[in-house]
Amino acid sequence: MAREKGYTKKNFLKGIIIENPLFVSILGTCPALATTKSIEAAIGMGILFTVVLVCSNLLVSLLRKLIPEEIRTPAYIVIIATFVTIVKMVTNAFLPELYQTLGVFISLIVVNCIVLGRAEAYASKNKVFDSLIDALGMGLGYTLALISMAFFREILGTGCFTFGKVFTFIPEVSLRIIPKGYEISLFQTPVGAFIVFGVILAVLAFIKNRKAELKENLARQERIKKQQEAAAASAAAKANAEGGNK
Amino acid sequence: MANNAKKYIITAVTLGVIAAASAGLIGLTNLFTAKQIALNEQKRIKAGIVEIFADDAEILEEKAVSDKELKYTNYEYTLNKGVAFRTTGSNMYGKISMLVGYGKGIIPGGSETSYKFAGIYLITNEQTYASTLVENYVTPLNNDDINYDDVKCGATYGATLIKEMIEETNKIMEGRKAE
Repeated sequence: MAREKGYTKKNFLKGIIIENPLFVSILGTCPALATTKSIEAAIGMGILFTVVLVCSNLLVSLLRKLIPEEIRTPAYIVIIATFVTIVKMVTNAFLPELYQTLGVFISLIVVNCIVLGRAEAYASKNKVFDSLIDALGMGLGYTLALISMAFFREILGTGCFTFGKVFTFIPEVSLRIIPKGYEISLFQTPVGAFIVFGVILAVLAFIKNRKAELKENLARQERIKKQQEAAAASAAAKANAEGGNK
Repeated sequence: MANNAKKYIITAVTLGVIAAASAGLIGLTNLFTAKQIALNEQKRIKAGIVEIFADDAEILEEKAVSDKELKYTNYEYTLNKGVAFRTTGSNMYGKISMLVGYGKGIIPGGSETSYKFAGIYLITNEQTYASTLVENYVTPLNNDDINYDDVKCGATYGATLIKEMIEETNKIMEGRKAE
């Protein structure tokens, strides 16, 4: 089967923008609300999630012709759970601060519907390379979505950006943006997470609707223009015909 | 019939192979990480003891506690500043592993050689409401702003688990005199 030109690029970018798992498909919201208190934690969660997604997509795609139809879902769950366990052990050993910060949400990647969803909807039907690109795109899209939520929650909730607390291999730096006493600690709570998530979704919906509206207006104007041209042409033809008759 | 049997066998073998490969991978990862995880845990225990007591707090003796009556307590540490216990427990919201410290000091009506509750330090906090538990219960408890049985904190189940762990170590410490 001939492959559409630029498919790989499209396949990669769809997870970041058009089919963003968090902001468009509204999947994986629980860890998104819980792990976006700081940008560092969001980056950590995003990386761990991407690693699990890439590994499971790769293996599911590799084994897609070997796994019988009846045991597809249990087999995928075993594969995903294995990678989550490995990621959890490695994080606990080499990034203990990140492990402490994310806590139970590392284990909960097992039940993240994006991972199982991509395995079922994409990796089980496509080649290894395409599945890898799909997982990278989705992982990056999810990570960027987490970072954008964490950006607002950290700045509004604490008034500053702090780095080096979770990733201790970088020096600790704190950059204060909002003067002390003016931060709104509500944004560090689950309530704040819901508010930020809701506002981002509303802004994205507004942009999407506005784009659709503009597109529709342009199409309407084009249609009117064509109708006017057609009317003018038919009027001219009519006038010509009448002139000929006289 | 024969076709069905073949299908069942293929299904079982496939699942078995996947499960075995998963177990192998996890085992291999464990081989490489177990030592480092144990080392990290030791570091956290030392950090916890310093946080509960003081910078010069030192572990003099470590012993495993194997009393069947005890539900949470696993280890006892004898320190130059007092005694600490390592307790581990879990509820439906996740696992908690922590240190409960008792320092040598004066308690009302007691003598100078009595032990008193010095604070707790969470080694592992896998509760769903982990940060709420720390902010609304553990920190105020260590700052003496609340009593350990004031569990209504927005993470009540986690706080109740901690309270039960403290009650257990309190029971162990009952009547003990510092040397």
